[in-house]
Amino acid sequence: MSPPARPKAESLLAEPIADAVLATIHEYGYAEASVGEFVRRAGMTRTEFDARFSGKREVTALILEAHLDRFQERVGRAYAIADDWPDNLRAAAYETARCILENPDATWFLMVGVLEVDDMLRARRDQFFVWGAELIDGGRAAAPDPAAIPDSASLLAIGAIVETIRRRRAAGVEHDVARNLPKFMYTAVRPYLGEEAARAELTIELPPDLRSS
Amino acid sequence: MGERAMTRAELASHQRDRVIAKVTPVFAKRGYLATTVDDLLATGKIGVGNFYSLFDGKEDCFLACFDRVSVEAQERIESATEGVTDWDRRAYLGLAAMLEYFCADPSAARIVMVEAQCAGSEATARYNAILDRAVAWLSDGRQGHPEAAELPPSFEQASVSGLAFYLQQCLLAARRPSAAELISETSGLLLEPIIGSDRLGRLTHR
Repeated sequence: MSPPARPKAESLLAEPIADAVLATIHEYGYAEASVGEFVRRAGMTRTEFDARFSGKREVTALILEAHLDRFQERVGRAYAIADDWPDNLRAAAYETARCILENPDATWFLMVGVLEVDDMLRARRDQFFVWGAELIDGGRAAAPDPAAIPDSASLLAIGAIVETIRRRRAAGVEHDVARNLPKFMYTAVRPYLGEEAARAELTIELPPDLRSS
Repeated sequence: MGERAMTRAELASHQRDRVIAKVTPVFAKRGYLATTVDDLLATGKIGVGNFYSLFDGKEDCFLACFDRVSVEAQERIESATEGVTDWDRRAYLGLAAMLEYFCADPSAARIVMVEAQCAGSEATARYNAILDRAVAWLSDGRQGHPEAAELPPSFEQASVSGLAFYLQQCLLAARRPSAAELISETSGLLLEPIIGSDRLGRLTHR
């Protein structure tokens, strides 16, 4: 018997099962979340579920992967549009904020929920953040003295936003992502271009759609 | 008069400490989620009844390991900064002591920095409380440095969060920077904005 066909990541996010899984895990925690509850919320039968997924772990991993693919595609595209650093990083940060605001359950899962699944999914999540750190480290080419910048600068900068959001979300507090974007840019720019360029980031107005969010 | 016999409570405390020391590397190596009570019994060389007389279960045992590591880290920081009144020097020595401890005992570091995030709400709360204390401690530095008043209000929160994430990545990755590398990199990013590059330079070359 051949294994069940794996759904394409992007199309999976359009199905009710994607929201059902994340909402259930958010409400009960991963350990207590059951496939029975997934299928009840998604309006599908257990037989339909079993024909497509090997179980709770697999459907969860596929949904995480689909969200990461989508985030990475959107943020990467935004970064590629602008030519210069930090303009491209700022554009990527704005798009990241839009992804976060549009996908609250996925963001919670990425920041908090995934940590309770297993080390492999955590590693996949961290791989995504390391990719984000590489966008920040694009500042090395724009820096007056690239060799003077520690290797850790980009991880410290991405960690500043990741850990801050994780702590807020873990405490059940919404993080005002848009309002904190200029502060994130300050943190990311400072090691590369210095204090003056970093402070300039604090004065740049957000795009209208994020100002009103 | 000779050695007195241990009381029942002292014996239990002694045995608890012994088990905690033995199982801390198990939680660190296998990860909290993958560690079973059977793993703890085998490594701690303890029977199931005895284990449950000392701990409420796996989570309680983990919390005891977490507390042991965080107390040890705090003691090392206090020892390194004892008698030092200058904030700049206290901050540098305290940061260095913590990073040296974590580099010398990666299992201990992993318990606090990595595994606590997936070991239940109480462990997460204790981990977050440590970060909150670090934020408050870093904020104290602004008092003696008027120029630091111009830093964004979120500077300390961002710096401590960034350091925590960076240490997690170091612990999870195969490559581990030396304590000297870690101290050099992180002191520049955490302390230099507050105390200035000249002052940090003098501290690092002392």
